[in-house]
Amino acid sequence: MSTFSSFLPSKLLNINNRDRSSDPLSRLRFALETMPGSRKYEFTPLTRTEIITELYEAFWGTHASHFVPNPSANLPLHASLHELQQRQGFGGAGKERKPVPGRACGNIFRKGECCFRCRCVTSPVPINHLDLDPPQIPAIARGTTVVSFARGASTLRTMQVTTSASLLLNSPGVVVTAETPRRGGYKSVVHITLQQIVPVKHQGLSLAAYQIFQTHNQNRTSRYRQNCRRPCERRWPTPSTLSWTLLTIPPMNHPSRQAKLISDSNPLPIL
Amino acid sequence: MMKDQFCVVLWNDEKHSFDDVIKLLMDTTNRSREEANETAIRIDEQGRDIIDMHASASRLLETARTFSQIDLGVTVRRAYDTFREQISVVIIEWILDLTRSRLGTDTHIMREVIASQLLAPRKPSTLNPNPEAQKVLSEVESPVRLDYMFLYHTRLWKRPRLNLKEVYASILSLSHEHKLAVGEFPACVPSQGTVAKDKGLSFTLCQRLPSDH
Repeated sequence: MSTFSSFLPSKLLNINNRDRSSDPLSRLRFALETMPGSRKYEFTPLTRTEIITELYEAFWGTHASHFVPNPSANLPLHASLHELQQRQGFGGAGKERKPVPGRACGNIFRKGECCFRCRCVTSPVPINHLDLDPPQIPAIARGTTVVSFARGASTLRTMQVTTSASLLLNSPGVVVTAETPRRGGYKSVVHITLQQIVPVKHQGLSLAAYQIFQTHNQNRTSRYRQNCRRPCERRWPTPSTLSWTLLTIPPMNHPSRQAKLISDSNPLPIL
Repeated sequence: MMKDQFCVVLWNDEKHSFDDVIKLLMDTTNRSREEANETAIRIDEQGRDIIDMHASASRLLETARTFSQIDLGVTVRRAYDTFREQISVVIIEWILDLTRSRLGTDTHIMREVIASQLLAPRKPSTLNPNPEAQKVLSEVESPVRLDYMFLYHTRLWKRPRLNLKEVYASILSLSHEHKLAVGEFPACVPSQGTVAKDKGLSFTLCQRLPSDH
């Protein structure tokens, strides 16, 4: 058995502040080292809170005001820091983030969440959701909010997705042109007119749409070839056409795999 | 002096139903149905839970044997070590919390700080190194903290593994260079032994690496 915590009587391990070192790291080390014995090996939610509090105190020292709105108050972090920041709107937390050109969006996709993959793109920036260049490439936010950029626009447009996938797939103006089996899933390419948003949820299945501005093939750059495994073979008919790539892992008999060709005469309303 | 304590850790698996576990917990540890249910939920969410603690290792071995009879994963371990593992889990949660937090209005800087720390060499430790781990890491040029974390990833369980994967993903999302730095390791991980490769982790890393690498 180690050592220190099992060796010392628990009474001595109830640390007084005056006994503790003034160095935050030494204090943290001492607290963690003595905690098993002082808590008699019973790990409770309170123990967890104490550890988190010790960690944060050692971490931010006297600079707590950079992280929390009211650093003078005691911070028993029952909730996590990022939740606290969101709840209090600290530094704009919990609000829509304005994109910074050339900076990754930072969204981390979780299991079951929408994902997307570039199929055709002409931008010379790396094409990866982790390396989005917001002014040129739209991103899909979590949940049902879709954030998109028009090429050349300087501001974000945010729209709530309200339609269902079946509505999309059966709507005029939407043409599912191809389904290509891929390792780990399949891919449908949907043509959709400008500024329309693809629904995200359908029958418990997450579908995601990725808006990629089309231009002509000759505009592609060597950087694009470097970053995209499968160069686009399609030439889009008009500059106003966007391609939406649906990427998911549906069951083989999923209705969305029964693609329909629908005329482009009556486009979906802008959401 | 405090007497040495031991505990029984029950592990999550995909083979047994909740009812099996709840019934066995009620029979062997004198839990009520509600308590057993809570424990089963914790095991499912966290990947493991402590179901009994006592100074008598033989008594706990008897309890463990009952669970192992129906092929449930169970470990008898010193309570001190288990407590320290629980502390490690909280530290991982804390790191994850930092990656999701902001410094002022900056949402990325905490990730960058954590990335720089994970990509820095580990400080010399007074603990006895695992010889097998040392053997693997001897093949890695200038191992960093992240290498150790990958190496010991399989020693963790469900919840801390998922949390760490999110930490890695948050680092990968920083830049192309971060992806390359993080992605160097998996090729060095041996596929056998106690430091076996975690396919889930490798997949997590590989799917986030740039397609040209």
